[in-house]
Amino acid sequence: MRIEYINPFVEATFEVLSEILKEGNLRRGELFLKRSPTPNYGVSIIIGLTGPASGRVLLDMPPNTAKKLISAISGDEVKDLNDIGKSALGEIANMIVGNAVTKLYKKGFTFALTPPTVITGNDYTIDTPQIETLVVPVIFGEDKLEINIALKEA
Amino acid sequence: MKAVILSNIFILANQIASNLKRKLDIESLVITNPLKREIKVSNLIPDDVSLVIFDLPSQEVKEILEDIKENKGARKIIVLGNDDSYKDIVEIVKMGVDKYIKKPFQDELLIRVVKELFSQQTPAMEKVDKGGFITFARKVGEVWVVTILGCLEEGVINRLESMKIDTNKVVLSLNGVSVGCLNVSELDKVIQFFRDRQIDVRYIVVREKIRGLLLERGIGEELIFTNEVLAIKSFS
Repeated sequence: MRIEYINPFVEATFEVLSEILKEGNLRRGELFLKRSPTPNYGVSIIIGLTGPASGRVLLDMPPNTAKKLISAISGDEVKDLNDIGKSALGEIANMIVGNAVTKLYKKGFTFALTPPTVITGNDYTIDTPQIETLVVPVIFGEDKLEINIALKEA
Repeated sequence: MKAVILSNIFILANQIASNLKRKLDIESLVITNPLKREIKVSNLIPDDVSLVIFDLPSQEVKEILEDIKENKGARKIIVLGNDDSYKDIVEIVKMGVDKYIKKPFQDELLIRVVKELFSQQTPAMEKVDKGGFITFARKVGEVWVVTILGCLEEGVINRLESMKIDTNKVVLSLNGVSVGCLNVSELDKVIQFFRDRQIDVRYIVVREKIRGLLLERGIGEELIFTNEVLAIKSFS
């Protein structure tokens, strides 16, 4: 997996989270590999892509982290992950993907993407291919999310 | 909309059918013990069926999927399974299943999955255009939801024109536009595009800079929202 494909998503996530949380105190946790981009924490944003490489980018976070992000963009404290909250999360995903698209394009890579999809709940559904996945944890205060990047060179 | 439910347990299948009818007004045909009764399922699925739900052991699911794969078309397939092995699940999903729901699950999850599969017409994968932008469009009820991601550059108007928007209600999300490559004259063209067609637009914007640009261009505060649900609701 080429670092040029990974970095735009990681940088975009850091930039957008810093922007909406208005804090520069984000740090990267230890990277690790797992067998596939399956969600662990209950709230996931999935983006599919094909092009020079194909696969999925999945942002996975606990509900409390999601609520914190939603509160930050909506200006109100969010207690439940209802449809409005999920929709707000979708907009955060749009910000991240839009930023990543620009970075990839500037590097000369043109991918095709699916719109970000938000999935919540402890019951889960699976439709992800089995591709070795790089996990980049992002930590801010007591919150964290994981960027799962599963791309296979075409 | 019509569904077919394949199960070896009539009570459970009936319960699913009753939930689909009550919550989504979907009529279901229940087929029990299809393999035991040596039923060729592909012959039993009417053309107007949009959804097939499997509640069968993996091996039976695989056999029937093999049988119906030629006729899948735009039909959605959901498998309700209790496989513990990730390998088994992936194997089933790869056979053309749209969603695999692991048992046990709450009724609401299945309803949500069906809604996601049908009511929100997920747009297909789109390629980044020259200029570094990508657009998605989908119809939610009577409202078109249009999303622009990346650069707001020359060419966006051509993409809007190709979308064949057939209502006068549009929600336009600009959150994915990178502020660093936002061509203001293109934003003007986008606003004008909708005005010329007398399309009522609600904007979804979080970033202050883009919000400021919209306000400067005479877009009222009441037309700007932070998320899609509120923007769509504002039409009613």
